[in-house]
Amino acid sequence: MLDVRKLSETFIVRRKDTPIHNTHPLLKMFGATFLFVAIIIGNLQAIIVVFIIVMIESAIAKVLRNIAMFLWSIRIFLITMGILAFIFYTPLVATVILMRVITGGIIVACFILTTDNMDLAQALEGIKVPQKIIMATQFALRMIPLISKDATESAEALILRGEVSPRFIPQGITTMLALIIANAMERAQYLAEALEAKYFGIAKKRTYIRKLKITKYGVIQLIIKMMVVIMWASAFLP
Amino acid sequence: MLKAEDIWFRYSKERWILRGVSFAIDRGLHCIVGPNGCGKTTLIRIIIGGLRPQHGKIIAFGRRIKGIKDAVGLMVYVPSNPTMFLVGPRVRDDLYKASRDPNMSLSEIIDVLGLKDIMEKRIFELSEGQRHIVAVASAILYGTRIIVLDEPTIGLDRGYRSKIIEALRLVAKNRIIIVASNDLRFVKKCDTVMLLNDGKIVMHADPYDVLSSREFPFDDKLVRFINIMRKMGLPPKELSDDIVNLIRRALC
Repeated sequence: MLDVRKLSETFIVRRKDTPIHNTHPLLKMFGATFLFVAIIIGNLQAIIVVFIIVMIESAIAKVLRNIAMFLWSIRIFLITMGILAFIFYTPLVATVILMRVITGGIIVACFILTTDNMDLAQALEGIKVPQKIIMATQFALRMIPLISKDATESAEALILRGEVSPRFIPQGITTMLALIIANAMERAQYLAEALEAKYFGIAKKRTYIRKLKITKYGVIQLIIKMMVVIMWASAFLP
Repeated sequence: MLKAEDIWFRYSKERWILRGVSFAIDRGLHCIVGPNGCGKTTLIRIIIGGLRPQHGKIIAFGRRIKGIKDAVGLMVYVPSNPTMFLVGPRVRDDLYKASRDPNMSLSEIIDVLGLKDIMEKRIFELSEGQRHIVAVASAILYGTRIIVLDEPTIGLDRGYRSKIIEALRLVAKNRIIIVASNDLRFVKKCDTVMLLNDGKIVMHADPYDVLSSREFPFDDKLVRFINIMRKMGLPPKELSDDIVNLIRRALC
């Protein structure tokens, strides 16, 4: 169902200096929430508008290639789901379902690809989210590229070992996932030990290298996203 | 024969990681050395078909390697984190699964690498060094014509390192073994060494020629020792390891 190798490569990115990357994470989070609401309540046109917005956002953030890789990596899942949707529903409903999944996936991928985990931690701290939750979120995000790298290495090694099929048939996928999960758990244990040894979390307030700012661009993109939801919600109001 | 022809590769538009890498190697133990971040692992991943270069090609035994599918059955690859290669769950299971080489028996490799005591252990109970040695054993047992290893001696003590070298030397007679490593004690045991620097192979020669060349970027006691021996007209290659170590201790 998943091309784990391609999926893992999707999330190996370097931080870029683009307006999207520099947008305050909270604005991005609210924006993503509005878009999610739009694709859930909206009809096909609304979803297409959201899709276009997210694609423009990805282009500005220079992550279009990663988004294409992400969609390519889940293609078998999308095809299977599409076939099932077209069998059980009308073509219009099936298209809406498929577009919802694709657009939702791109929204999440775009957020992960353009948000620095330190920025996210700082933003969450600003709205008084408990430290433990911030740290858990931050380290989960921090782990994504590492686990992605492990997954790529593992996929290559296991394909050559003949344990995983290079043609993305699910054969051997459990072996690979077991390896990746076990390795991630080992990494998490080492990380926890290292953090404990550094007295991490003792101080109530942490210091950050960069100071987050609410940029003009961030506000504009949030307004655009809000407008999309309001426009479609108002279309259904009497 | 494994050939790389004019390989150019970059991850992003900013910088070329590999700039026109070419080499041709035949059976034997070959090493890629170079400073950290010079592109050793990238080159290795291109060889196995994991990455596609922007320009150039890899040809292994007449087969063009365009993607990883082309390398299946021809190569086996052990990444620098051997945990990602070992499927276990126990060492014994992993080695049994790997045993496909008719010329190399499981008991032989167990003896050479000294794996007898850890055969019943689970992969996740092993130390980092032990995982490396089990991964090398598995790779050898696969019997593929090309074995690609990324930093196989990282974190290994002298005993384990010697065992790995011994095992690889044993199979290097009829296979191509490519190793990315900066472990100079390993490098000197190879048949040829490719010195990768600034995206290019600046030297591809006998280990002693590479280690004693001006191009070699590391200042190491072993390198200095080789240079002294050279000046004295002694080819250190012909001296036994014990004598080399004895002289090294006396000199350093």
